[in-house]
Amino acid sequence: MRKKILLAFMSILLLAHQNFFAAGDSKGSLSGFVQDNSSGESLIGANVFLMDTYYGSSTNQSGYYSLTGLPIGEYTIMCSYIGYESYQKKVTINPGQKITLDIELTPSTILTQSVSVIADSVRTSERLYRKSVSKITMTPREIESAPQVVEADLLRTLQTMPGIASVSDFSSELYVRGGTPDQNLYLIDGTDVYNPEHLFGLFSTFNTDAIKNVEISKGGFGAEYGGRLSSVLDVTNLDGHRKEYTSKTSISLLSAKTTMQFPLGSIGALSGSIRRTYFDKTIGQAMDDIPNYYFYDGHLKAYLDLGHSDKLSLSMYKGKDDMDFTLNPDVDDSEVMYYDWGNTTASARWTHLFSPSLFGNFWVTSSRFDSYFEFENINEENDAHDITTKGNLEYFYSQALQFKLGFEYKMIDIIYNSDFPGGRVDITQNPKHLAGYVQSSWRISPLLEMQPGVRFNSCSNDGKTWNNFDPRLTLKYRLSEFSNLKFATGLYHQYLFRIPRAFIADIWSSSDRYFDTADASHYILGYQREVANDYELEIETYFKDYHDLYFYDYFFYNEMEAAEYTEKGDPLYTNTKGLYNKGKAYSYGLDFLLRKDVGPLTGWVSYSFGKAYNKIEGQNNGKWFQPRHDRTHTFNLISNMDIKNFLRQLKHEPYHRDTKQWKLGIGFVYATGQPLTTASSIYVNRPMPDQNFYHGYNLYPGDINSFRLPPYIRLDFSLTYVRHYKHFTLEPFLQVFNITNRKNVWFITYEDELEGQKIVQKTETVGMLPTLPSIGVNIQF
Amino acid sequence: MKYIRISFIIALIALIAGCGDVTVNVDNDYEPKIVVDGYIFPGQPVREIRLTRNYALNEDIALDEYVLTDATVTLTDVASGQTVPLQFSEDTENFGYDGPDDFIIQPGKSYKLYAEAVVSGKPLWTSSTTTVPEAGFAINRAASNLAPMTYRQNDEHGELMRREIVFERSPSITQYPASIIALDASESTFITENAFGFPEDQLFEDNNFELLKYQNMWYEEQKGAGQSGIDIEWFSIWFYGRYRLILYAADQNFTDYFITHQQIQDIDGNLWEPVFHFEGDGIGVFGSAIADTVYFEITR
Repeated sequence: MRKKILLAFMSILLLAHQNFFAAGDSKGSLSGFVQDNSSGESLIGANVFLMDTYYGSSTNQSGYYSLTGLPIGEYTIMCSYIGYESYQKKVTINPGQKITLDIELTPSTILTQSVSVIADSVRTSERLYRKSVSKITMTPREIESAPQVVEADLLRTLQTMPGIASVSDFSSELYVRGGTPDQNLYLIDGTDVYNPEHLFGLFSTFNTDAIKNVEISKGGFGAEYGGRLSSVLDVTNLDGHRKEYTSKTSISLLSAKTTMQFPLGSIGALSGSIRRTYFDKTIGQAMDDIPNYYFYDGHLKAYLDLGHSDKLSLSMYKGKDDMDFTLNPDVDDSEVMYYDWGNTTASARWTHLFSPSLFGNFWVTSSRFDSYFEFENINEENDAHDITTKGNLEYFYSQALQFKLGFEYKMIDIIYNSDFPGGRVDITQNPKHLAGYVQSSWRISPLLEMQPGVRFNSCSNDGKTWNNFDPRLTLKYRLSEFSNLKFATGLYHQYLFRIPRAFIADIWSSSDRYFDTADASHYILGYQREVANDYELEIETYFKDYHDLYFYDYFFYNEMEAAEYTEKGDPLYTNTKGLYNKGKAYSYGLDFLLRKDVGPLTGWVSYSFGKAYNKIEGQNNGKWFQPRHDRTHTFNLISNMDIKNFLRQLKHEPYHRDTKQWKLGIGFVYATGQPLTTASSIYVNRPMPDQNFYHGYNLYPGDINSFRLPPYIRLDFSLTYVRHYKHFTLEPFLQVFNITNRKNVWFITYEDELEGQKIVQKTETVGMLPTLPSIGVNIQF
Repeated sequence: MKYIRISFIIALIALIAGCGDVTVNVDNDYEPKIVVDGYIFPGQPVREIRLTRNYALNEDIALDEYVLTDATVTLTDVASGQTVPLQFSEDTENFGYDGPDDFIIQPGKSYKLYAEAVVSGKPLWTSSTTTVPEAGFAINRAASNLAPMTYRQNDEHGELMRREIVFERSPSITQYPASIIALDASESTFITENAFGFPEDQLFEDNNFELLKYQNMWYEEQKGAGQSGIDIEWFSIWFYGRYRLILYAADQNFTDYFITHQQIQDIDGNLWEPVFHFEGDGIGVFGSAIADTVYFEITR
């Protein structure tokens, strides 16, 4: 069946090729980069189009656009981007002429002293049409505006989007449309990030001040991405200000952070940011019985403009969490628990313009996650490291036909070592992933566009090789001036699996002789509509079908087999046998998003209906069950208000740019309670034949996740005062998380008490985060 | 004004919905089970088969009523097919073989337990088979470090000393659970300056005292005859005085039960099914083991 699907896709690609050769040379082209004229930053996703035509495009990840195959004639080119003044210019296209036109957009902030969010000149429906299926973009402004726990966090903000769920207040992990966090590909400047977590998972590793652009694809993503089953989060950091030195400093109750940007003469820019928590230097100094803990992260990026056709970008990120806990500070030989973990990434990207219609990006990247734990004579080293070479070419043949070609070669080292009483684990894996893809974008008519593609994946590890072809297809259709219909489908393979561990770093492993590849098929149908000019309405329904998933076996230590034994007779485990149970899964649902990015009141309302089901060999009597992250209904509201201008709008007064602003943020979430496996009964038994005393009772579980916790409801609030001075801006803020102090239930504990000859049972709930007020200040120069 | 009204209504709904405590009533369907707490040991008659029942969540348990006294229980030597009935003893509250001929458990042989009982008015049955470890297991006292030690004593190089127990393995067994009991455990013998920061004032809260007094470990060792060594970890030591260590060469049923039955709640609160080896309506353990006992002391 899959071979047939593949043949069908290849036929579509050949059809596209026929169109390729039919095109002539009597037309012209227009191409160039779009940049912020105040900072020189390239703008991703800016809209460039010829007015009164269907000729148009969006800038790519490098800020490049190309309009090719343009009929000769006079046009007005328009370029627009939210938060910037629109750009217009008359151009004349002559036969065979290839015009290079770099565009600089002026941010509204320069003109107005204030971050104004004004609508651009492209129709909202057109912007929606150009967007990929199931893709959500987000700017640092939106991330920072959403009320959060203590400080802004990228992943926590994404959890408010439809189809993206969280599992608890204590986790920033993303569960996308029924998928699990290991099925998400996290990229910083093109580099994989394996465990993007700080503070035991409470926050993500992404420093929002360093971010330029965020895109998350919730499914149906194109052939350029692979290796994960559910989603792709692509984070691009700031290149750096190319005109002047700027900086932003923030202090919250969690951390202090600063971001600086410098021009590097006329050839480029440098940006850097650093963040560090400081409660180890404050509260930690005053209290003995809490762990000594901090984290820091920093990013450095150099952008070099080596000419119009060559750009070089060097990026580096390092984050580290460090904890040491002296269990009994009153004694000299107290045991100390050490745990540190972090990510280090580095990438070099060369962007080359071979011709106005052939654009290339080439990367060499390296990513390393490492963690180390030590306690008494137990220690654990957990590393995942990759070196990747990849490249892609974008060929803008004509307005009707564009191609993307690419390759990726990834060498991964996974090391897990652990010494524990009576044994040792020493697992090293060196999988190699090779991928190549081709994808075309074929505008069949002004109303219909098709994007067929195919990705070839190959993974070698442990003496085995897996080769898979993943066909992908997207269809876009303009239903009317205001609405679009989209469809996407694709096959996805994943060769890396994960042992999830709450609060401590997950362990990765690769397909090997014991575990094959996992795959998923996505089917997505979406409807988009422009509402009242500046509201975006997106409704998508999806179905995901997973095969050969590998679920972590909680009692894996019963299943693992030692490869050899030490002289003392202790087992040495060197393979992954027994770590996972094979299973399958499916999920389906409907995502609804109404979003407004412009005006004094911005934000989004989202609703998700979703169902996810798993079936695991040897569990739950072979019956399907809903995983812990299943949320049937989720409603989110994020609202950010420029209060003065909102009141002016109510009075139908014109928008005014103030030097003093009050901004109010409201976040509200309602979600169906999570499924939970609870005890179906209790019993009393000795743990050992010789221990004949009452240890407390034992629990016997019911069917997996057959109980539903009460709904999760939370209301957050933020208030920011923005004061613009001549040379800097001051923003003190107050945030209150869970303002109503609702005691959302995380799980249930079971208590017992021996009263004479009677055991009295009691169940209690463990709550999530209570009301958490916090204050901070941002200073921007 | 329309905006204000809508915003006000939304805010009001959010406030009302978001307020207050949340109550949870766990209402899982109760399914009656025969709970088996049974072990057999080679060279010994069958004495330690206790059958109890499970209880619904939040139901009080009367410990003088939870033992199943009128169950029908048999034990079968799988190889020979010989089946003997097990009788209930009022003294021990266990089922055992009380027949005219001794029915002595033999190493290396398999035995099947079968039980029928009525729990909550429902007739239930269960069976489980254990294969008794082969002979050969014994602690090598001469090679083991059983001498008295001070708490976290250092050796002549300043390194923390380990107490190693050396033993001959059972040829058929890889799993060795250990039970360590502080025989002199009391408030006065508690090691207040322990290296793990357990506070003295919490010693008698909940079940803390028992949980510190009774310690369990588990070791996997090489299959086949030969010698192995295990270290008694310092986090098993909480009191000064004498200790009793029983090391078991345990079959798979014993090991799986021991490892899993008290570890079923994950850190995120979810429960996992323990690994039991029963057919029918049974839970718990029917296992076999060879046991050997040594003593050591922690001095002040």
